[in-house]
Amino acid sequence: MIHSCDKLKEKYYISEIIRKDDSIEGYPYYYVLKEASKAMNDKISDIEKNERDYEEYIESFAHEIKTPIAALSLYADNMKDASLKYEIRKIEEYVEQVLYYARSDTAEKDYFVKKIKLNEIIHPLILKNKDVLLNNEIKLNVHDLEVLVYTDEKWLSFMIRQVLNNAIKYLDKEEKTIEIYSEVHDNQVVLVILDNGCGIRASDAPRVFDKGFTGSNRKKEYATGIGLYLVKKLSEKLDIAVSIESKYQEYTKVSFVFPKSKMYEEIQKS
Amino acid sequence: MKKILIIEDDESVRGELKELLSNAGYEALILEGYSNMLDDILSIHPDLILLDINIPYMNGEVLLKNLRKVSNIPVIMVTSKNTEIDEVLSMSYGADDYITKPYNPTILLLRIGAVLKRLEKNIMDVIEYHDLTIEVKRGIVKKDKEEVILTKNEMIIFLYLYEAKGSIVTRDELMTELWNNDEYINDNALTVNISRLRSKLRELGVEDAIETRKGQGYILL
Repeated sequence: MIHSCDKLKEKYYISEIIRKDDSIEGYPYYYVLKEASKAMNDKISDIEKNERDYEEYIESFAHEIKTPIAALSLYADNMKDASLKYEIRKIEEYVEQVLYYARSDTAEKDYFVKKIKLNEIIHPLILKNKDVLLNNEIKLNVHDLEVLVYTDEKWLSFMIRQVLNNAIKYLDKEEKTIEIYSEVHDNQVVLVILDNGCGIRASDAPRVFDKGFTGSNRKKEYATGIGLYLVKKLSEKLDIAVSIESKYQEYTKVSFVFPKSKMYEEIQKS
Repeated sequence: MKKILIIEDDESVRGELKELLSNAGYEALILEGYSNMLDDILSIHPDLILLDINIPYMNGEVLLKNLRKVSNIPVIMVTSKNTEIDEVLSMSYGADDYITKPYNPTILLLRIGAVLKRLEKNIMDVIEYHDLTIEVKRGIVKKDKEEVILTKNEMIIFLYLYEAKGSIVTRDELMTELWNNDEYINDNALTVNISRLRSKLRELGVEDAIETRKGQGYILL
């Protein structure tokens, strides 16, 4: 029995494979082990169900709340109320994060991988941020994005959005610039988002993808420590490598690396 | 004036949508009552329908499917569910475009404009303006044998003003149009572009083509 227990990867399956022992010494142990495992399994499935329910609730909450946000956002636009618009945009971003956070563990269920040009993902994101970019006099340099990748459009779009939001949020120079471009290498396509903002301290760099980490030098306002955490988590599921290079007080450069398969040339042609 | 029908059950949203669309120069109508939607749509005969996926009685996708059996009125589907499956579904039922809530007003107006423009088909290649000929594809303005080259930005601005000829265009509209064409320029650059466009038109003898309306925008005369 000890031997078969050691061989098991999931040790709690021991009660499933254990041989029935009818001897007077053995039976109580057999009985207790069976019962205890059954009780624990019931408990686990309860918890799993609760978790699923909770996830579904969060998902439906995020969808429901979009309608009143839509109403508010249209109202703010009709009233030309810039500060209301700004606050609503923050609410939108938070809700989007909640939704993707809830989904991030079951992302596979939601994939729809297709061929898409990077520009088709970047362009709408830039348009969505048009007011913020113009009001803050941010110089945008967007080039070389007519490149095809195979990925899930809305997951990638969410990830880029987190990075772009960060880039905008942490710009601190007189002349603010954000550069977005791609590079095609032999085995990979790299999408780069480069800003000349406050950068990341070298000591903080290893922790930027950690859940809840908001940095030691940064303004805490409107920082949740969730954005980059989700970027990392989702990127692993999408098979995209994300890396950050930064020089404190000078720049931050975020790269999304897409693997380029042999099919790549054919994709580009078609 | 283009007629846009809003089918959306949330009262605040549809009220604000109506105002947004009216301000953008459309005639916006709201579909009241959901029992006879198909007949109502056909009798209103809109130029475009903005259709929420979650409407009472019949969901938006079913309505669209039924509508497509009898009419080709352009439809933009709206939903808060941003899963790709929905998109594929509604596209296969014959939606012309698809947007997700919360509405981003800039993007909504762009999509509506794009769908309507696609249907007009006669995308102009050559425009006559006063005694000038504008060859859009070559990026050239001509008067007799004199030719002046317009930059991409100047051409975008000119075309936008030309389409709205005689009415005021705001700086924000021009900016959106430029950004929508991947020209992410700033406020100063817009001013520079407009003054260059003016002087190019002046070179060819058209004085005061673009008038500034203070605090409102520009108007092409």
